[in-house]
Amino acid sequence: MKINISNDDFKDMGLSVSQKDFYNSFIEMGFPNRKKEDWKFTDLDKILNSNFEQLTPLKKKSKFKHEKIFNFDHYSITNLNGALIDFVFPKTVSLSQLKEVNHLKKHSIFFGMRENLIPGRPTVENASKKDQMLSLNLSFLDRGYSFKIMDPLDKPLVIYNYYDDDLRGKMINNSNSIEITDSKCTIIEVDIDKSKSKYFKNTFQKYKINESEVDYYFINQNNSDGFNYTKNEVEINDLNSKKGSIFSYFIFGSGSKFRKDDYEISLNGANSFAKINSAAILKKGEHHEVKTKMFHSQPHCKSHQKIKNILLEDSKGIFQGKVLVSDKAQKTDAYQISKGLILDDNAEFSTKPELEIYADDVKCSHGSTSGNIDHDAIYYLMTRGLPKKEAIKLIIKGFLNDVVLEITDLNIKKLIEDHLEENINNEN
Amino acid sequence: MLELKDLKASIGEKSIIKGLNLHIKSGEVHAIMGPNGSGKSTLANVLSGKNGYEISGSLKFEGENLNEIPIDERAKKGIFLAFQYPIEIPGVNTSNFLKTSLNTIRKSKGEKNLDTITLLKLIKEKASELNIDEKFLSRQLNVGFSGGEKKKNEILQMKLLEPKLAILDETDSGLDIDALKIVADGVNSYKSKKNSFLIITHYQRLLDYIKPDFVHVLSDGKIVKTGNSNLAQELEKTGYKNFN
Ligand SMILES: Nc1ncnc2c1ncn2[C@@H]1O[C@H](COP(=O)(O)OP(=O)(O)OP(=O)(O)O)[C@@H](O)[C@H]1O
Ligand SMILES: [Mg+2]
Repeated sequence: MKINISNDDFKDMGLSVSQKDFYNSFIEMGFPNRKKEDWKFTDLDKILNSNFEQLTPLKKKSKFKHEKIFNFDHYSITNLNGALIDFVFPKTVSLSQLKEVNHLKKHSIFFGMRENLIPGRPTVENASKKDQMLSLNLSFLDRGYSFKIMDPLDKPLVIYNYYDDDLRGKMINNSNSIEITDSKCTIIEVDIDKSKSKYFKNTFQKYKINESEVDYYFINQNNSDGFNYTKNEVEINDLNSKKGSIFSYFIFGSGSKFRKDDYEISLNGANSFAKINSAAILKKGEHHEVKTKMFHSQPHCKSHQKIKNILLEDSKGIFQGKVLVSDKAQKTDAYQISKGLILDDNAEFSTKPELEIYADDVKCSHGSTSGNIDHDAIYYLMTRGLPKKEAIKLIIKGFLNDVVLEITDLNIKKLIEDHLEENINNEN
Repeated sequence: MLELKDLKASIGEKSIIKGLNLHIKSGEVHAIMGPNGSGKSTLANVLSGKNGYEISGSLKFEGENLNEIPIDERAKKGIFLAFQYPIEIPGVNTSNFLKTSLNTIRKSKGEKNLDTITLLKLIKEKASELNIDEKFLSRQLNVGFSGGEKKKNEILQMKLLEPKLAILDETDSGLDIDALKIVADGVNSYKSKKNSFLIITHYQRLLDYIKPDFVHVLSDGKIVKTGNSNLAQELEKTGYKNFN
């Protein structure tokens, strides 16, 4: 597979390095393959090679008449193919389209430039030189948004990500940044993607959570042939609060041909709490990885992660979850569970939980299970009149239910139930 | 109502039911007793339509051949099995399950769908008759229920679904004395000329409360003796040694 570029794909970013330089270092490294620990279960090089003859950076930023699909009252940000096209925001939120060089410099170059949190680990000097996806992203980055919320939000904020129907062979590199301070808010990010052609999207997204309580939902609304890699860097900073931030992140990612949702979460202030909940129903040909790295660098923080996958047909579900606890992070409470329910001999669920702990007074646990559907349970439900299909549906919903139960907002709960229902019904 | 002729059932090489004849008429209560491993649960499973058995002989319910009819269709025709070991189903809310099941069965009988409020009222009413705490209804189906609680939940389902033929597989095992009485009352209050029972049990105690019309002894996959309720008392004294 080749990347199809011309010289004017590269812009001057006003940095000491040019986009071309990033591209050169990307070319040196190539796409990550399974030899890289972080890509152990997802050989991106192979996957892209077998699905694309060439990838062409998407240039045009089209406009279209979009509709808001949620009928409850909300603020909104609307993107098309990763580029910001519209927003409805309260005045307390500052939003800027990420297109000027200055913003690029401000928001993107810091990706991966994390400070050294764990003793004994080498400082990351030049992340882009080590991270293929980041160097690729910086090579062609030409779209994205950035905003700050400095007050509580009275309504949920919905980030609509629309896609053109035909993005055949296109590559999108975008970068977004979200900063939330002294706030309590709900954000729903929804991919509305019905693309029946293959494209590749490489997103870098940064979150800064300061003394805030944030419920964040990512929902994949449709079924598409898109290939999505998203790197999320989350910093939870509680510099002077006793209460601590709560960042609660939900992933409902089923429906895409390929997804890798990659999270690096740093609990940088005492008493913070990070939650990751994922529920997916994976169908024919779907490859879905959730990867998390949870850094506990301060005492009295909690992180709870729950990953639930239903695997149908020849789908592949993956969870790689690492918890790192620094020597300062006493009284850490870190919990992680991943479960796969396999309904087809050709489906696979792989997990790799890891704990790396340098503090001695901590409560850390992880577990993972995967197994086939309980035939006695199907039998039992059928003796109560449920047709086999309905019985299986009920068992699937039951399996995912402890993620759904975590959702407190009724509108969102309904959205998720519909999303899951649609994905169950799509199974043939 | 139910007519079995020369019924045989096997799994792989192992034959379990070895030529069984049984005729249950409307309004009758039949009890089946027999040693461990004699095939009682297998019989119950076969009647409910469970997959995995090689079956021969005739199996008729209300004159219709059941052989090709799947589990859920049998339930809709009015066959109900109270499990010896009810299955735990994580994440499935008990009252939601009961609602779904009840409406499915009602629909097949041509009765109208009940709305959630009416359903819930009905479920609570029947639950309280069985002394089942409302809290159970909001728990996950059978998950973490005690042995006796699971059995009561089976009888609750029976009372809600109003089957024509109820097969109770050792429903009395694991019930305390009070619960046994409550469950027996539940069965007796549901008993009528129109429906029948097949009660599998090891103990005469249950049969003191629910008087069977017939008692059968199942041994090594066959009915080796049939009698009236006195037979149960006899077995209590002598055990099964005479039938081996
Ligand atoms: N799936 C199976 N595979 C092999 N053998 C089986 C299977 N199911 C049942 N059996 C055997 O068939 C015989 C009858 O079992 P069944 O459960 O019907 O006995 P039961 O009369 O209900 O016993 P109990 O009184 O202990 O409940 C037993 O020997 C049992 O081991
Ligand atoms: Mg048995």
